Amino acid sequence: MVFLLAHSWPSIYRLRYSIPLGLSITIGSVILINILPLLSELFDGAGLEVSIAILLLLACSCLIIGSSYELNAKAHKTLWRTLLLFGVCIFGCIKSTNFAIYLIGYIHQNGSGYSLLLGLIIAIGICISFAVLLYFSLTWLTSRHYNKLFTILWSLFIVGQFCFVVPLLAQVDLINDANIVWDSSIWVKDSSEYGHILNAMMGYEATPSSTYLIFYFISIVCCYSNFLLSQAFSSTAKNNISGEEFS
Amino acid sequence: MSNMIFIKACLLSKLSIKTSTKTSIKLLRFFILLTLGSSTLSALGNDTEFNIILQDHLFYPAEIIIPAGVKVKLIIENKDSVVEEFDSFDLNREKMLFPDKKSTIYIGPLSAGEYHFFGEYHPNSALGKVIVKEGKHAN
Repeated sequence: MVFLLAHSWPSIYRLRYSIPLGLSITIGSVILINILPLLSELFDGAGLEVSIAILLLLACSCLIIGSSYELNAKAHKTLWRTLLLFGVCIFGCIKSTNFAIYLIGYIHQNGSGYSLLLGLIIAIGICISFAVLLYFSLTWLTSRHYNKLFTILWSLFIVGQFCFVVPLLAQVDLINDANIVWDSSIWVKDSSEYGHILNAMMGYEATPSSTYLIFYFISIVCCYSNFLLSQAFSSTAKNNISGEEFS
Repeated sequence: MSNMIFIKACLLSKLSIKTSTKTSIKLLRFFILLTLGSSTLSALGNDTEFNIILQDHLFYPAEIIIPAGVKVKLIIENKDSVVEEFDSFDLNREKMLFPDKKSTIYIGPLSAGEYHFFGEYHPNSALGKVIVKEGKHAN
């Protein structure tokens, strides 16, 4: 969300969009929380993974396509805005459902009220601090016209989120992720703070499988080339418009 | 091999579309079922199953010994009244365990060593490990 806010798409956070977006995420999360136990029993226990993989695929596709239209003509404005809102909504539903289930599980523990409150305050504080730092770093990048670097970071983020489907589908034996290519846990462990941040920002895995890497590189090539193509298309369109105006 | 069969089926079905659409659909359906069926059977044949029970935020058994180089199916039953999340950085696995429901996780093939797992919502009590040994020393 910080990525979207930092670039040229802050319009989706206007009140007329943010209220329906918030409501949709809340309703979607409530529905997901209630149907997840039922989904988990489908397809011989693979229902949960398959459902989340489909939702992630949908969310990431919407975000990629939506954000690639940012420079295009006004005619596409409604389309990219709708896609972005839809993508953010699905993404928000998945994340908030995870958080809500975690919170419900924690609340059930006896005598955890004080530690829960303390944990929430610290966690929210860390999240806000990180979001502010990320926001200013990204706006600095765009103000210095390092748009390509921004696009790379945005692509890495979406691909990292999307590649989460590989371990998800592997744990229900729908794809194979047994061949570990390297082990970088000596430098950055998955369980460490840096491991968590890198995982969230670009899908870092200390022990990635060959399937994960193939998936990652194909996704990053598709994602980045999509952005490059859309930029090329928009610049051609702009040149045509200026040429017509000149003539 | 199955891809070749599938391609052949597609080619065959393409030819038959000209003559009869119904026959081509039937043929395609048969080969799809054949491909899916053979892959499912081969997957079923290689599975080794282990049952784990989660009760009072503890895993029973907390240690399971499995052979190296084998894909293993873990069936985890959550007998607690609250949801738990099976989590393991070593195994690269993360799965929600809903109350009174059985969940399935596949792990491996793994090399010899110890792989720790825990319940994310009760990490101090819900702890366990998978011990992978060379040979057939599985419990």
